[in-house]
Amino acid sequence: MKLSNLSYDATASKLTTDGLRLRTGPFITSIRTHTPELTAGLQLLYADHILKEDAEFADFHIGVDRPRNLRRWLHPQIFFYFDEVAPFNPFPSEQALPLFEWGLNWAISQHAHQYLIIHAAVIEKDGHAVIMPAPPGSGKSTLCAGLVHNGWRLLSDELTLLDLHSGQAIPLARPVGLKNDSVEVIRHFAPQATLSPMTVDTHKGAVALMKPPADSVEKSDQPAHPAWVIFPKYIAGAAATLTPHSKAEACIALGDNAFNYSIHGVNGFNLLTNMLDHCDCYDFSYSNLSDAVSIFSQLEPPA
Amino acid sequence: MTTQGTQPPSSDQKSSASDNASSSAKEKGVHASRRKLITGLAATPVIMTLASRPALARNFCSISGWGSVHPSGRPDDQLCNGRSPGFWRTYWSGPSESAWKQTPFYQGPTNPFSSKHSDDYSIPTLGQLSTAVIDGILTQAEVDTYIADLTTADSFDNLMGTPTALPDNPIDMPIQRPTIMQVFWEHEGSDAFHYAASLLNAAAWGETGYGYSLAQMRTLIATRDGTAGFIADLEGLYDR
Amino acid sequence: METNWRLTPGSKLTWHSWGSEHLVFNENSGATHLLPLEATKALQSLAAEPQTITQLHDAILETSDKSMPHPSTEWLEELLKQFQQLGLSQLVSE
Repeated sequence: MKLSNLSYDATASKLTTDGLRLRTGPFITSIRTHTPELTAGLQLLYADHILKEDAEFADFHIGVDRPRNLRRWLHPQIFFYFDEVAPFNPFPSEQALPLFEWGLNWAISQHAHQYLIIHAAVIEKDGHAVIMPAPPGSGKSTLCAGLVHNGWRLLSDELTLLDLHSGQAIPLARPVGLKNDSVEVIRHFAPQATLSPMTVDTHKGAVALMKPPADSVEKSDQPAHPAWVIFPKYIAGAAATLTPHSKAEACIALGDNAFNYSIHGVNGFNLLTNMLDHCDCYDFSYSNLSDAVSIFSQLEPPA
Repeated sequence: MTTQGTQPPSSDQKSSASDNASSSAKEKGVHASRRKLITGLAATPVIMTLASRPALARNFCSISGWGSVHPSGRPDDQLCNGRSPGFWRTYWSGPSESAWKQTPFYQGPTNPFSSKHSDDYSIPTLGQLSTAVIDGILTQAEVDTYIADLTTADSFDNLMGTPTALPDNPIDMPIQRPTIMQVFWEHEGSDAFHYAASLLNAAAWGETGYGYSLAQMRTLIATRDGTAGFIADLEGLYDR
Repeated sequence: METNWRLTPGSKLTWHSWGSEHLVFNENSGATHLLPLEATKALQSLAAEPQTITQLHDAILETSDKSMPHPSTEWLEELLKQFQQLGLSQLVSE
């Protein structure tokens, strides 16, 4: 059964009692909250995600709620809870939805060491995956959002999970985070996309989350072998251009962008180098999403 | 001792996969030259290193953290410390002074022709200082104190932990190597400008608070100096 | 008399190469290094047996294209110091 089969009240009831349990990629996440912003956000963005039975084991126990003491704040604030512990400073309550997404990313990156976890987007078409490591501001999420509405399947826009034995990228299709102008870009480029309300972030601007396409969520059991590692960079006015990138430097960059490369030692090194044996690596500069989609559609898997 | 794994490569070994070496040669040439620029040594061996780091250090504060979806909240609720070059170069702002004191580095004295609480870290020439003594603007003792203080200011080389290619100060300056503050005020916008801020961030707040220790940031700079997007990565760690 | 350099005892190195680019993973330090060809040859040569800088220089020259520039002994000395800082090499007296 999917979350969309539950009414708002039924969802809220689970969230405020034993927890709402959703399958999120290879994980089961138990979520508790009393905040209406998160309740509505989950209903909207996780509508296609599978509900799990309450009795089943959960990989992550997440809470987003007001502080649990009687202290009053000047402004309504919420904490992110992981296993009943609040590891971070509070956030304004209107940021409950992005805080949940950010916090779940943190939880996965800190604990899911059965995978090599890289801070990168990963998408797939015809059984071949593109891994896109990129720092904030590179336009990775905007590019990812555009591509997954043009023939590509979303595996993840933030966390690439690589299976240590098979080297395959494991799907973790969850909402895609968009900032500021990117939100309007995607609204126009992919009008069929479902977007959360904007959350105004006093520090970096406005944030909205895009619901993962239904087929991306439905194919959560289908991993994919990486065939390309592409380093995207949005450059205003730039023509969409792929430039070959050194495999050795790509390996260093992937390791540097991995959360747990050091944990895996030589196994992590072997995983990346073996993967890169079968990948083409590129830098990708672009300024226009349509051109980017066109370039990506012409990618040929390595021989 | 053992050497394990694949057959140690010979100079003409080809991998079975497609070879990007020729197409990346131009890029590597650019990168190598920029590394030479920053180290100041001609034809020095260049080893790119990805250092091991504790898993917990790869936290949300690091470059591969959460900028994509990062509701940072109000400044006093920031989870990650990191300040811009503009912050570090205004020592007398209060917060900057406190932050500097959390590092092992000394910003040095302000220009003796300006007030102590100015942000004028320019360095007068020895000639200008002599003239000031002659003209009675400064006493010899004040000049001596200033120069003694100046010589204890940390150079940019000290901050980087290695000699750099920043040019020496002109020959008639009281000190030879540029100070950290000179980088902030005289090399605004340069790579060194950003490296200085990033290293001070690491020195002040370390792995837990900033995402990188000083040693890790030095290694990161040595590894990624001149590579595409690195400065943008460092800028992404300011003011989070 | 020149001092011998050697690979740090107990080193476990795993190599991977693409063309002229060589990666080496050092299990002792957990670090991954991208080495130019000459540095790779030097490290391999050192892994075989301890050598002086002059011996390393000659060993690399032996396997190099004589028409191409080859590293000087000064370059090798700088390289070995870098290797030392990275935990890959040490002077035999250590």
